[in-house]
Amino acid sequence: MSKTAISLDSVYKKFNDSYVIEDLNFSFPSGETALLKGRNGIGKTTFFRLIAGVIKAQKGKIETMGGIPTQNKIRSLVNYMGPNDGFYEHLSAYENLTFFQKVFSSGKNFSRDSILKSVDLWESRNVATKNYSTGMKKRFALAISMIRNSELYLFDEPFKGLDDVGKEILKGYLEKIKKEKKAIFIISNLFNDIEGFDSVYEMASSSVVKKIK
Amino acid sequence: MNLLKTTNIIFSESLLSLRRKIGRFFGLLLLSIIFIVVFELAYEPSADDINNFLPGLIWVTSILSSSIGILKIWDDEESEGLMDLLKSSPLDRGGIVLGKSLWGAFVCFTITVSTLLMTFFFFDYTLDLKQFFFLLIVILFSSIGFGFLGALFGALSLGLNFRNILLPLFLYPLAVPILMASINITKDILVNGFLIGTWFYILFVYSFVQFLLVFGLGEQSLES
Repeated sequence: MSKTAISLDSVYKKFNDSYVIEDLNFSFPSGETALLKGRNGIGKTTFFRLIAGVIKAQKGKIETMGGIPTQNKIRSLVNYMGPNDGFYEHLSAYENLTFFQKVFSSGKNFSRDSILKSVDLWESRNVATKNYSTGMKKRFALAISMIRNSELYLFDEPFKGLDDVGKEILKGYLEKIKKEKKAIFIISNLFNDIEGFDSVYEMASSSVVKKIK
Repeated sequence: MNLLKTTNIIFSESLLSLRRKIGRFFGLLLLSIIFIVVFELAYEPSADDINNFLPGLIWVTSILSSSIGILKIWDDEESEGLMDLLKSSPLDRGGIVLGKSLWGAFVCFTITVSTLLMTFFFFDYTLDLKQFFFLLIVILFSSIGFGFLGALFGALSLGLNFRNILLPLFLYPLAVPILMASINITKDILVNGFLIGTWFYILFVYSFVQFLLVFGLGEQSLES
C-alpha cells in the first residue's frame, strides 16, 4: 500500500476559461484523518472530484492511492460521497442498494438489511427515494458509502442536511473507519469537532491547500 | 470492472426502472396509436396505394415515438450527484454508455414492433411469416442505429444548457439515413417480398458505424 494516499503535482483545472485549481501541489498520507475547510466557491469540491477521478485535470499529475485516479483499479479503492444525492430517485432504497452492490462488487460481505437498519431507513426501505426527506436522502447516501470497502474516504459536506440522529450515525461510521486505519478526508465548514481528526487543512486559494492543525 | 459486466449492470438497472416508469412507455405507445388513427381517418387510403404510404407512416410514427423515449434515457444520470458517483465507481465508462445504448435500442425495437403491429391491425393488412421476419430484421438494425446514436449524443450533451432543445436538433438530421433506408426496405418487403438491396446495405453500414462509434467514443463522451 502506498504511503501517500493523495499527491498533486502542479495541477491545473479550468471551467469556462477560468482556473478553479491553479498550480496546486498537495500531499496527504495514508491512514490520516483530516478536515478540509475553505470559503464557498474556492474549489474544494473540484479538488475532491479530481482526486476521486470524476474529472480530469488539464495539466499536472495526480496520484491517488499510488495510481492515476481515473483508472478502474484505483477508483475501487476510493469511496467518494459528493455534495449532491447520488442514487436513482425512482427506485426504492432496497433496489438502489442492490444496484450499487453490483456496481461496487460488494458481494455478500455487506448486508443491505443491516446497513439500512444502521442508517435508520429500514422502515422505508421499499419507498421510492424521491419521497425521502433531505435528511433521509443524506442518510441513504451514507448507506451507499457503507457498502464499499475502500482505502480512502472522501466526503464532501457529509453533515449538511443531517439532524442530530443522522450526525451521530455519521460520527459512528467515521469512528469505525478510523479504527480500520483508513484515510479519511472530509470537506466540512459545519463540523467543528476537530479533536477527532489528525489534521485540519484550509484551501486558502485555487493554488494553496495548507495544513492549519 | 470490465466492459461487458458494466454494460449488463447498466442495462439491468434500466430494465428494472421500466417497472417504475411503465406509464411513460405506454404513453409512447398511445402516441403511436393516435398518429395511426388520425392518419387513417384523414386519408382513408385505397387498397392500391396502401403499400406506398404504409412504410412511411410506420417509420415516421416509430421514430417520433422512439425519439421521445431515447431523449429520456440519460434523465436520471443528468443529476450531477449520480453521475459523479458512477464516474467515481469502478464501472467501465465505455460500458456505461454501451449499456445505455443497448437500452436505447431496446426501447426503439419495442416501440417500433408495437407500432408495426398496431398499424397492420388498424389498416387490416395481412403479412406472411417471411415478410414479418424480414421486417423484424430491419427493425433490429434501425433500432441499433437510432438507439446507439441517441445514447451517444445524450451522453455528449449531459450537463449542457438547453440540452432538451439541442439534442433533437442534432439527433433528427442524423437519423434521416435510418429513416429513409427503413422506409424503402419496408416498401420492398411489402411489395416485392425481398429484403436485401442497396437500402439494406446503407442501413447495415450506418447502424454498424453507430455501434463502432459507441465503442470508440463511449468513454470519451462521459469525460467531456
